[in-house]
Amino acid sequence: MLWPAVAAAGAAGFALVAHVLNPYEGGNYPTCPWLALTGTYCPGCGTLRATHSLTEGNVVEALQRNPLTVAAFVLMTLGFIRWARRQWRGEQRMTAAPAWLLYGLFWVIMAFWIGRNIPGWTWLSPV
Amino acid sequence: MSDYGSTPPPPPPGGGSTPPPPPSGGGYDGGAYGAPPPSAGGYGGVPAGPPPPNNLVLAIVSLLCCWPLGIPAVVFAAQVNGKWNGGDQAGALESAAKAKKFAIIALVLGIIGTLIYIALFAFGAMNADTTTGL
Repeated sequence: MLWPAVAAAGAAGFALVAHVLNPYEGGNYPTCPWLALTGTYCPGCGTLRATHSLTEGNVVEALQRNPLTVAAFVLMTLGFIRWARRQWRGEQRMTAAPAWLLYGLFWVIMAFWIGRNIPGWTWLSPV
Repeated sequence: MSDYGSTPPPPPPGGGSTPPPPPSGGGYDGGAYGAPPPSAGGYGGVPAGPPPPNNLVLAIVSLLCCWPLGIPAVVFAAQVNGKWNGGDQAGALESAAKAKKFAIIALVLGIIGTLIYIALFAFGAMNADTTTGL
């Protein structure tokens, strides 16, 4: 159970930093190098702000910053529960997810990357 | 994240009073995971035993660090499960290793770049009042 504990502590630490050091206030964090260089949003843009909003219980605001981050947090939590349960019971993972699911995830991320940079489509962009 | 180790083979049957575990059992071996059992003659069907970690999470994180290397990492990670479910154990392990290699290079480059960037930011070479972008 060492690694599940490390992962949980890491996630809690990230949420704590995002909550205490408000990413909505300019100057608390440097601008993402990708955004500074290209002026476009990568799929991760808005993650810190979305996390801050979630720690305040504001799910709508978090979805406005980065809907994929919120979805990923839900999936990661479910995956974490399964993983920690296996570790607790001393079991090994015996199944591999179908490949189309992983390729689908890849294309969802790529489409999201493009979609959030289309001018006028602000519902995917972090602003 | 790694719940699979490729090095230690299952303990020899003479080591204790218990018989060797069946290949598909969810073994209660206290965390000392063994190598996957040898494939029963190559291709066709899902192999018995635990699938290799596909390093997908690592690859996705690396995608956000350095996408020119993160994209092949994600593609190789996705190949792992396809090859495994198709019975190609060696191919799955090879793709997993490639995914890991690309992801780690991307992560290292991303971390180095971020450290340089933070150093520039900290020493005042960059303007601090831009909107946050993470």
